[in-house]
Amino acid sequence: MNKGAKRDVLILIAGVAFFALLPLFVKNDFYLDGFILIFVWGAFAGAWNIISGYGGMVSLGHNAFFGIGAYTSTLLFLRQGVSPWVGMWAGAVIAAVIGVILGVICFRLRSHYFALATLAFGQVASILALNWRGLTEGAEGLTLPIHPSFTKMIFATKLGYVYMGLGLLIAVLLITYFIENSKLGYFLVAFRENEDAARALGVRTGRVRLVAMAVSSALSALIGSFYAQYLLYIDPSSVIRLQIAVQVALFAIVGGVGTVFGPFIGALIFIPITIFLRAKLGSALPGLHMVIYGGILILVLFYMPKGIYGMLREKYFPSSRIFK
Amino acid sequence: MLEVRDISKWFGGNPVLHDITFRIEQGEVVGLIGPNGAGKTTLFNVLSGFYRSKTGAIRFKGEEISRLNPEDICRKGLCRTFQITKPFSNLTVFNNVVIGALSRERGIRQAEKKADEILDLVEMTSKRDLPGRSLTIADRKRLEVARALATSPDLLLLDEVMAGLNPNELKGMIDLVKRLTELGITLFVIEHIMTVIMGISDRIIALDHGELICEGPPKKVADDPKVLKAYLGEDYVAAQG
Repeated sequence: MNKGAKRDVLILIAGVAFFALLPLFVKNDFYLDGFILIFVWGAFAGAWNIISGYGGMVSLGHNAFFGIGAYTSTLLFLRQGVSPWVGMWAGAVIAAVIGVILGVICFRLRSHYFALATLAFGQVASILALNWRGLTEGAEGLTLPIHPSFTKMIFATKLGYVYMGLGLLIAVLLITYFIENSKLGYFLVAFRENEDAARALGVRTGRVRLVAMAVSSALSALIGSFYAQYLLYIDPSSVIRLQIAVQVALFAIVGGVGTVFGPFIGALIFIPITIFLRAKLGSALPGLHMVIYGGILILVLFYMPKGIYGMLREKYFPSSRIFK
Repeated sequence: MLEVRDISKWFGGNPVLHDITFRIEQGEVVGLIGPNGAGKTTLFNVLSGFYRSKTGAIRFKGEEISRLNPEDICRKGLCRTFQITKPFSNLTVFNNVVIGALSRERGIRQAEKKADEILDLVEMTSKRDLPGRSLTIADRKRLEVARALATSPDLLLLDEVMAGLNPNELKGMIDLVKRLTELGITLFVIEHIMTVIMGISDRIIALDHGELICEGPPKKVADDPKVLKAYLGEDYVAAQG
């Protein structure tokens, strides 16, 4: 291992240790909640990044997959008594199948047309969740009874959620790292860079994108299930509304699309801002955090088109095999 | 190696290719010439699967390929380059070639090894870590060839890889094309520079207005009145007559 690689490994270990140990010293539930949200959104933005960052197919419908995960595990538990540990995988499979169907229909659309089609898809899912009252109870939402137990994936303290969230985040980062260093990753990037050239070189651009879409939707659903277990109450506005799709795209873009760590960095920047504003302002200026999101997005797109992490990486880790 | 029978292509009401029939044998270098708009690149697009011919058949190594996608045709060993170069702009030259190699090689490691061999062969090792977007025209053309070569083709379609090069770069590209033939790759080459195409081709096919007007050894095609007429007009042929 050369000197640069050694340094990168040390930084990585320090980073993991920091996020794994710090919550042990934080006694305040308010801050622990912050950690959980950073992990959830960092993982979700990472899942989005697989098809939309590496594959360049920008989705504005990932709220649907997040919601499918949340509703599937919650409904299976409430109606059938199925443990969320099982239910979350059922949600992942359903999301993957729907993601592939969406891909088969919409992948022929290019860039902004694809984004618009997925936006419509997310809206349909959101409207369904609101109006299919027989299944989802509509706007009244679904409440999970608070009986902490590991088999029901309900933890007595926030610390349990912190570590499960961290586990999900690390899983997403590892999967992304693995994809980036596999044929799938190379082929996705080739498609994103130039579809005709990729096809002329034997890249099966259709199949490659469907695989990425399936992985991305399934991961989004898993994270959605976990989020539902954390909230213990879900309704369309908390797990499937349009704003979720916009927010996840925003985090990833500002952090740096098509990189392993970028989407997490985006969440790491935005979530504390959101929490801080909400705590300081309360309901005095509702929507102010969206204005600030917009401002940051504009600044980043102007001065760091590759995102915050994209820029840092070019500057400090130009040839790193870890920080990608 | 390649058998093309009666293929036609229409863009709306315009016939761009009309009943084209020809063969290419293993190990040959066949030139494809014709004035602008004759249908040369369209023919390449049909052969490589980017366009579909409504009629006729294309047999490659004995197998019908006219209904296949470009990616599957490439995997069967028929690869093409683009006249308007299409580098993966944000990837390094090396990774551009790795992607070409990946469709045939089992893993990333093997593909990287192959990519380095190919870069050596096309003499681009010094540009290995530059992004695709930073290359000059000559290097972009060379990268097109390198990527296509990485897919281990049996038949390579080269679309004007010598256009826009200075005399020095041109000489380098001619040397490269000769090296490809020594590797046993069959070549089908579109080229405008007559001295070059005459020099490297075993046989030449001439197109004009979507019709195959002449086919044969370079000398014969160069002297054919129909070819002269297509390039220089009726008056020139009459004046020479």
